[in-house]
Amino acid sequence: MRVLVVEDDALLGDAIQAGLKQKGFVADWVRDGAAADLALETGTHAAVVLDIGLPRRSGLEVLARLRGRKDPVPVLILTARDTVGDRIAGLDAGADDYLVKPFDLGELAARLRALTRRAGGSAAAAIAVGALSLDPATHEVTWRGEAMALSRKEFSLLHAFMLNPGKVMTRGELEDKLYGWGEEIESNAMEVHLHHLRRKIFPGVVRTLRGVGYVMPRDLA
Amino acid sequence: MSAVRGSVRGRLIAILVAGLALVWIAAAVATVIKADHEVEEIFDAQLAQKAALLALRLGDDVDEIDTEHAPALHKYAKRLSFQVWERGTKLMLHSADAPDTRFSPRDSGYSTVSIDGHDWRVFSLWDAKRGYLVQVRDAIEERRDVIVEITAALAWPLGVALPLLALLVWFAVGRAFAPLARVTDEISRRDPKYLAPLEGDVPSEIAPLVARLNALLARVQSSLDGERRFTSDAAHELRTPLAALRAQLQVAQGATGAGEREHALAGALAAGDRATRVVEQLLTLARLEHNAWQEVAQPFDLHRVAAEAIGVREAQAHASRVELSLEGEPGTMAAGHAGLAAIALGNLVDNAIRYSPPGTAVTVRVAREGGRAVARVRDEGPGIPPGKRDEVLRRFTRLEGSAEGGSGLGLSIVARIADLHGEPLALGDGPAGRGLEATLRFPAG
Repeated sequence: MRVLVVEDDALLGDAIQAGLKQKGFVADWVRDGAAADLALETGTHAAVVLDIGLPRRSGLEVLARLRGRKDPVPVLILTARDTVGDRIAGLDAGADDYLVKPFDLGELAARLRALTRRAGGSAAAAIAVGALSLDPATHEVTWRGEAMALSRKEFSLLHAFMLNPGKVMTRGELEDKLYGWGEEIESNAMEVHLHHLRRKIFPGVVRTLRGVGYVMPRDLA
Repeated sequence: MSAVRGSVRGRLIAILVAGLALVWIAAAVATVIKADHEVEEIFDAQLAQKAALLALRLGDDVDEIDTEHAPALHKYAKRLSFQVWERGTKLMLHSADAPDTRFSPRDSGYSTVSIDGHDWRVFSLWDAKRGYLVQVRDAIEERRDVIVEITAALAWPLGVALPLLALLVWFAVGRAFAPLARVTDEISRRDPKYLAPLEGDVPSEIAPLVARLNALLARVQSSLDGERRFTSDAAHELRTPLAALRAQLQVAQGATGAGEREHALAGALAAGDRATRVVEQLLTLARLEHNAWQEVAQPFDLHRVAAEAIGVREAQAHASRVELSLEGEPGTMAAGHAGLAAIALGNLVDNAIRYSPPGTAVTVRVAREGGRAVARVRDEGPGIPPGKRDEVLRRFTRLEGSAEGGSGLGLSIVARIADLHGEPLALGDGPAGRGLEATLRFPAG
C-alpha cells in the first residue's frame, strides 16, 4: 500500500518513511505544502500522513484543497498541537484521523490500515477474494486455509490486486502502488513478482491480458 | 511596602478649621480695633454733647435745673454724672453720685482720670460768659462693656462654626472618596488571575490612578499571556524532535539490516541533539526573561568573544563548506555581559552557517563605531525579506525553507540580549545586497 508522508522535519520524515516501509507500506515523503499538493494531484496514494505546521502551505490548507477536489483519500493528521480545538479544526477540515507527536510507529501503521480498509468499504481487517485471504495488519496470507510465505513486494502486489478484484490494472498502475519515488524499478520486476505469486499460490491467481494489463478473477477458488 | 501616613480627611479638617479660625480671628481683631476706636469717638461725642446740653440748660440761676428728675433715656445714660463749678473752684451743682472734688483738674477738653478706684472719661466745658466750669464724666467700664459685647458677638459664631465645618468636611471627604473606596473594594475582591480592567465612572481626580492601574493590569495580562503561550509553544517545539527520536529508535528496532539500523540510530542521535538544543535555548531564554543576568556590566573584549564564538563553530562550518572569518581590531572593548555577548554572537554565527550555501563565506566584523562597540555577522545566504525581519525575532518563528535543526528561538535570544544591552538587534541586507547582516551594538567599554 502506497502512502504519502508530508512532514517538514527531516529526522521525523525519514523515520516515518523507514518505519512504514518496515511495516509493509510504500511511503513517499514530501517536505512542504506545495509539494504535497502536487503529489496528491497524481492520486496514487492510498492514504496521507499530514503534518500541520508546514512551510509554503499549511497542512490544513493542503487538506482543504484536497477535499475541494473531491478527493476522498484518507488523511491522518500528525501534529504537535494537541488541544481539543486543534483536533476539531483538523477533523472539521476533512481529516479522517488525528495522531499527536510523539507517537508509536506501530499505531501509525495500524491507523493507516484502518483508514484504507474503511475507505475500501470494509470494516473487517482481513480481505478475502474467493479462497484467498489477506490480513494487512499481520501480513498473513492464506490460500484454501493454508498460510503462504510471501516477500514484502509480493504481499503488496497481492494486496493491490485483492483490493480491486475483477479490475484490470496496467503495469504502470501496479508499479505506482508498489514503488515509491526514486525507487529503482527493474524492467521485468513486475513479471518476476507475478511469477512468484503464481508459483506460490496457484497459476490462475492473476491473469495476464496481453497488451492491456493484469486482473485477479473475482471467483478465485 | 508603603506605610500609611496621615489621612486626607484629618489633614483637610485641620487645614480648613485652622484656616477658618485664623481668618475669622483676624477679621474679628480688625473689627474690634475699629469698633474700639468708633466706640471711643461716639462716647466722647456723647460726653461733649451732654456737657453742652447741660451748659445750655443752666440759667443764670443754676438752681433752676432739675437734674434729679431727668429721664433715663438709655442704660448708658443713667450714670450721667456731672459737676458745675463756679469759676472752677466752687461746686455749685452736681449729680447725686458726684464727689465734692473736681473730676479733672483740666478746664477744657477730654481727660481720663481715676476716682475711687474707677477709671472715668471726663469732658470739661468752660462757660466763659458766666464763669462756670461744666464737667461731665462717664465710666470707662461702659465703653469696655460695649467692646466686650461686640467681641463676644464676633466670637460665638466661630465656636459653633468650627465644629460644624469639621463635621461638614468629614462627610464631604467621605463622599468624595467613595469612588476610591469602591475601586479599592473591587480590587480587593479580585482573583489574582482576573485581570480585566476596572470598570465604572470615577471622578477626574481618581481617573489617572484607575487609568494607570488598568494599564498595569493590561501589561500584566499580556505578560501572563506571553508566558502561557511560551510554555505551550515550548512544549510543542519539543514534541517534533521527541517524535523523531522515538520513531527513529523504533525503526532501528525493526531494522533487518545493519545499514538500516545504523542510519536509524544516527537519526535518533541527531533527534536527541535537536531536543537538547531546544531545551538549552529555552532555558537561556527563560533566564534572560527572568533577568537572572542582572550582574553589573563589565568591560570585555568583544573581538575576543567573537573569536571564541567563531572558533567553536569551525568544525560545523567546515562540514557545511562555509568559510568563517573575523575582521576588525583586537582589543575592541565593550561594556556589558561577556557571557551574553558570547551567546548572542554564537547564535548569529550558528544561523549564518546554517543558512549559507556551500562555498560561501560568513564574516564577523568587530569595530568601534561612534562610541559603540559593534559586531556585524554577515552571510551570503538567502537573507530575510524586509517584511519578515520583525517576524523572525518572535519566538518559534521559522521561515519557509528554513534550515535543519533550528529551534526558532535563536534570534529571539539574540534580540533579548541586544535589548538588555540597550540597543535592538538590527537585521539588514548583506554588503552586496544579498545575504543577511545582523548587527549587535554594545556600549563601548
